[in-house]
Amino acid sequence: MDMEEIGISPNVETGVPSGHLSVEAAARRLGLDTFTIYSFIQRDRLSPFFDDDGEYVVSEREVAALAQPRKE
Amino acid sequence: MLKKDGKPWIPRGPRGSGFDLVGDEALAYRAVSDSLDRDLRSLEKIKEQLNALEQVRWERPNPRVQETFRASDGATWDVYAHLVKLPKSRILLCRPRDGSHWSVIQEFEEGSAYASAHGRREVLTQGHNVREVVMDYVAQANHTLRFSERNLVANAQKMVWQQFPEHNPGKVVEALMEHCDKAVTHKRLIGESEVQNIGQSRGMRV
Repeated sequence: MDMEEIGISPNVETGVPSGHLSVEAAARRLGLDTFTIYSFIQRDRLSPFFDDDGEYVVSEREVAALAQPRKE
Repeated sequence: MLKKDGKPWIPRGPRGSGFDLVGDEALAYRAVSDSLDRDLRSLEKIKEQLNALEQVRWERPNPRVQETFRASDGATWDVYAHLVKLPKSRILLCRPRDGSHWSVIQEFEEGSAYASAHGRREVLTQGHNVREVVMDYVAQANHTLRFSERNLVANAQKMVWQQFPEHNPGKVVEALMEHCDKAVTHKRLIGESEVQNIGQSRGMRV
């Protein structure tokens, strides 16, 4: 699925689509390093999207969910 | 920077191949590669640590315990090796004190939002053969390196096309891709067959 299909428009300043975070921003929010964020994407713990420049971004909602305790 | 006929010059490929970056091409390349340098060095550092793990003889008769920790279920785990140091976490080779299986565990910084929500440690790979368990992790991490490199290249492309559209951007991007690739390419290939069919429990909290 690409950006247009899910109807998201980029933030003019950062280029990151609204509702999404760059890998660096996701890492900062979770207190992790970017390498770990990439490994989460590989392990399907975060869904990858591409911004208009072909860079990976992740869903802000999914990042917020990772900051919440997992439901056992 | 080297100069040729008074112009900035970055030699590439065989002499006369036309791959050299000259003048504005070389300046564009240098500007973008300088701005990627910090990220690239961080990937190189991880790659060096992974390469070192491939050289270790893991099957030792009496491995020494370096530290211990108590898992969230109260079990005691022994740490036998610090495999990789990442900027905000570390990768450890561990075994539960009352168990025989080996685990590669990622330990996150205490107090991070993620660790507060999920606990400080997660199992990345697990099994009974210590070498296979470590090599499985190495294969995963090398894949992650490639993934990280891909994003770095996309970033480089964006910068070149936005900032230096008049400076033969296709050629500059090609040189930058080669530069990024060198940073994360394996020095030698891992035997893929070694890392298959291992009992795994990825992402399990301990």
